[in-house]
Amino acid sequence: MHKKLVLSTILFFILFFAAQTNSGAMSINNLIENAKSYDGKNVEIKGEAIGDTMIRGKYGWINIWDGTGAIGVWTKKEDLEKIQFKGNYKNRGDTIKVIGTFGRSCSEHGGDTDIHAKEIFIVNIGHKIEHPIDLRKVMWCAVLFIVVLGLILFNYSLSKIAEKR
Amino acid sequence: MILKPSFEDIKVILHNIGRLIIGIGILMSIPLITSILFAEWSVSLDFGIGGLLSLGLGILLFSLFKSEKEISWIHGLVVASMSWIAAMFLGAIPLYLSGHFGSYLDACFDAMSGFATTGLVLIQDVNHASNGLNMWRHFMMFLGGQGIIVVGLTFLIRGTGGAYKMYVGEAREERILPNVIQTARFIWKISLVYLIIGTASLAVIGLIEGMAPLRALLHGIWIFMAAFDTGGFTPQSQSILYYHSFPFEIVTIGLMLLGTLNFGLHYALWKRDWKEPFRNIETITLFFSVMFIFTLTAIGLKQFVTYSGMAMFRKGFYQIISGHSGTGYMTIGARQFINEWGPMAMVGATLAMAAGGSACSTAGGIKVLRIGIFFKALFQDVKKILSPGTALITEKFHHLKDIVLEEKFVRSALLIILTYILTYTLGTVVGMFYGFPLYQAVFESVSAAANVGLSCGITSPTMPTPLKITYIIEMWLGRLEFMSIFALIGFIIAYFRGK
Repeated sequence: MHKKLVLSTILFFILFFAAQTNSGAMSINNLIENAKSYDGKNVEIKGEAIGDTMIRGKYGWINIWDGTGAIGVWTKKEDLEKIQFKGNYKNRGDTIKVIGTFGRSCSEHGGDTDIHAKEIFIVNIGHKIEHPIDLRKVMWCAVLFIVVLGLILFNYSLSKIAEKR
Repeated sequence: MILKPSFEDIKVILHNIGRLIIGIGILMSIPLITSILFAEWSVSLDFGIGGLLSLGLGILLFSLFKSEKEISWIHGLVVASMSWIAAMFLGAIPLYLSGHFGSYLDACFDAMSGFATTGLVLIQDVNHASNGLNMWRHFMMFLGGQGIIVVGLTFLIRGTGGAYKMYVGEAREERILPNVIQTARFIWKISLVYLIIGTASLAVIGLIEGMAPLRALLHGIWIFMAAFDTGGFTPQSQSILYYHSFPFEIVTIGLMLLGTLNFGLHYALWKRDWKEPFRNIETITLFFSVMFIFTLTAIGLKQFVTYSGMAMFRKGFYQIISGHSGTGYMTIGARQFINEWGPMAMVGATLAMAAGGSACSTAGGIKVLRIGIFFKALFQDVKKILSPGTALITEKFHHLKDIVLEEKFVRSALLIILTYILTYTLGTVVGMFYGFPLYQAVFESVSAAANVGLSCGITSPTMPTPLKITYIIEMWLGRLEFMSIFALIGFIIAYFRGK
């Protein structure tokens, strides 16, 4: 009985967390395509934090990319400081869930299409991306280097012969 | 009777193409060094392969096809047109090897878009692109903006015998200085001065706006290269919207405008002739064109009630300057043109792109000089109609010096305007054939042929292959302004049908 209770509790938390992370998240592309109908409304998106956290006073910007599109999120400085990894060549950025107000032409930010975050959750912490060296590329480089060197030497010797004549 | 080109003619052409290809190979060392500096080892191999392959091919052509024959007009034009194709195929190698492209054709599309300073992209997941790859993407725009031939003339070609003939083939007729090589070097000198000022300004703004110092510097270099050369590539998928920064937008507007000015005008300003911009037919036409098109766009945006007050100016004006200068930087999403701008504002943006910037600049499109000449000729004809039959009506315009409007200027301007319109139409028809609505097909086709890069969403890795090829051809035609490509077609016909 005790075991069942523990398992049920764990299951409840897993389902609760899953519901928290996936409930109602819409694609950024869908949001932008239907900007008029979502304008000024509460929306929820989930995606990777990319590029830079650009802190401006007590607030700042983070751009979120979900594979269908990217959008700027205006949020508190403390929220931005929680983000550990931002997506770039070397890192997969943190996966972030944002709940906030969508503005198709935000009056506070010169008409930008953005989301003013009310809540931000870090769903998955990002990680470093490995870029293993492709040995075939190394081989191609070596072969081409020898060929080019050979061509330069051949060309040089031809011009020397021509000079002597 | 058409004369068949001799083997000596082909040798002259291949020898000079080889020389320019060597240049491309050497220039790939810049992204190679970047990737080494940032420990992007896999990327450095991509540039190693691309650079060595270019060097090898270039040396082979250069040494196998040596010729004593002097370079003629047809040689110069064919070298110019074929060098751009060679640059596309070779420049695409490191792009394709990066793994960010669905196919080699997609990489070729972006390479032509880069060299032709268009800015339409098929790259996937650009937000995770390496510094080396971004350096090459933006550097291609810098090279293409100056002109591949200009690069060759500056660093690789000695003597001025055939230089001017190749220079003209790259849609640059004006010799700013008496010697064409001095002209090419001046173009580089002025671009490097702006590179330092522009990069510093953008990097400082990036830093103030919250970017890390090194990223602010890199973004400063890249955004400068694609803004001044009216290209439009960006290191992030949201274009300039990524920065959410009004000062960033202001500086890029300044750089786009500088890039769209004639290098002759830059030279006049360099020589402290401050009055020239106020008398020059190009700057005057550009000013009135921007004002007219922005008014049209503003009315369209007002009808659609997307933006209010300052936001309408900020979004509308930025996109119009971006389109008119031929840059393609965006502070809105691609699909917002369709969903949020409405037909009239889109017509405004399309007209801006079609008109283009100045001649002998890094901009594409019809060019404001030709539009100015067209209107001067129109006024002259109206004056003739209103004057007594015996009256002699002469019209003048000022473009670096006072010039009498002659029939040959009008004919040349009208021919190019007409050819551009035909090219815009060709791309539109192909776009419509694949099911895109008329105004979207027109918008994207004009953007490609005028080397702008604004997109309403048609350009994507999933678009049909023939449409990708059509846009590549349009970008090539638009950048070289037709003459050298027609010369190439003529040369091929003469080779097969000549006697």
